[in-house]
Amino acid sequence: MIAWKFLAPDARGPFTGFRWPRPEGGRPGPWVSAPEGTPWEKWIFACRRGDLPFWLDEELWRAELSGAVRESEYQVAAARARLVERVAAWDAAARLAFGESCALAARDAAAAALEAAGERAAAASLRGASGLAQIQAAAEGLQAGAQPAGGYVADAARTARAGRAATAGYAAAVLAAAVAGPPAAERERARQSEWLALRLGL
Amino acid sequence: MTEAAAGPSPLPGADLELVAALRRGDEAAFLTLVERHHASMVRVARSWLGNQALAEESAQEAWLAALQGMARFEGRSSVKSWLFAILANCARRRAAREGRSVPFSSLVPGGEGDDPAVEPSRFLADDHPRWPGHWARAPEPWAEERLLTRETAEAARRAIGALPPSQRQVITLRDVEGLGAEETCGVLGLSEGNQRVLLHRARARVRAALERHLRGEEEEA
Amino acid sequence: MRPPVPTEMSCRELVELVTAWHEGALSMADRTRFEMHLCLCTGCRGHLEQMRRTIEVTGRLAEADVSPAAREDLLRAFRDFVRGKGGPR
Repeated sequence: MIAWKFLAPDARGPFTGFRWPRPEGGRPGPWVSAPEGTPWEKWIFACRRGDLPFWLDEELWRAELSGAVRESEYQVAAARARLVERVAAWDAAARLAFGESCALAARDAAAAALEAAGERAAAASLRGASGLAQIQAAAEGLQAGAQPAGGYVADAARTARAGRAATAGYAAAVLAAAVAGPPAAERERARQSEWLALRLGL
Repeated sequence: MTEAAAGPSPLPGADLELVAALRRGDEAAFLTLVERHHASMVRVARSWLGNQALAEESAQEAWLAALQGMARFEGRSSVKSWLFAILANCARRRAAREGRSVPFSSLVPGGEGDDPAVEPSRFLADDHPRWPGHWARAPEPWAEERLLTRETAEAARRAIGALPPSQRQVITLRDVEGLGAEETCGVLGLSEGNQRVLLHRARARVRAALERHLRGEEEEA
Repeated sequence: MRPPVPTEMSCRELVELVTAWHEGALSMADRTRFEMHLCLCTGCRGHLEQMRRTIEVTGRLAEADVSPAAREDLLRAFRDFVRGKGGPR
């Protein structure tokens, strides 16, 4: 099964520090296995497309999983896996672009909610801003009646500008839930997954 | 996933060979074991007894007891934790002779202050509109050079010395001496859960002390 | 349908779970929440780094030298033992 892994720089596991052996000469890297009898909780974890927004990190790799694969809510686990190829398109520029897409989505969701709540001036202020710096400034200038939506938009824009893609994505999802309930947050996360799949050619 | 750094320790297999040599009366093997473990044993006994002289005597007695009992050592635990278990018994007997109680056989974690690991003021309040419980101010990175100084080591040592006894004992065995969780539980007679809570609190206090030290602040009284 | 925003873990909750996570003692659900939170929170990554360094500093406190006097005493005790003179006092 093909899946993806986000890793820290140098193909290191973000939580274990494990140095994954890398593909060489265009061929997949060597298989890494959990010892025989290891419980699935200690297997190798990877992402399906829909899981990607939750696990963003510096490097993205396409991986191959072998044998029994256990699917969970936010990840899949396998006893045996190897790195196939680095997804080079996931770079600093992509992180900035992802963050920007989340901040824009947050802006649109907030503006729609503010309009529905009768906060027309606040909504207009957000819609009138172009570019993250302006969106951040507009959001930070909003009054009490536009909170917490305004604050979330400011958080999304600020973190997106700083390249903190995961945080921006999170802010956009939390905003969506805050203004339109859990299904809206699910849709925002799905939007993020689709954005990644398209941009990165997954 | 365990990232805890163990103190410097020889390979377990090498220690076992030394014990085998010891059974044959090999003096060099004995001295090697002493070089490896005596200082730790004194340190650990000190963390239990709070007294350097008693700690040294307990460690000496523990070596004798180990020699007398080494025929029974099966190698199921590491030599280090075997020595520490013997040491624990010696320390208890020594403390009883001195009319003291060694406060590790009947620990009740939670009786020594249920302080949160990090001061609550470092987090946003529960009524924050967007991020209740998130960092109000992110922790600052620590400069590597400053962590390597003797002053920093002293600050850590003082912080450990100031811990409640049960926390001090656990962090000494786990983080200073590099014993594993199961071995530490065995030596101190703790459940895994209790040991973990004590370790958590101890590490939290030492972290906070290092943070204050690195900021050049006064130590807590 | 899975929860769209995983059950929130605040930073205040995370710092109380750091040791349990290190020890591999968290339930899979809590471990997932913990690690997902780390992905999106530089503050908590910073805290984890401080904890890691605290453990490193503590780990360096063990010195390896034995005092010559102690060494002498122990060597004498060993020789007595080997000669059969050692015994419980």
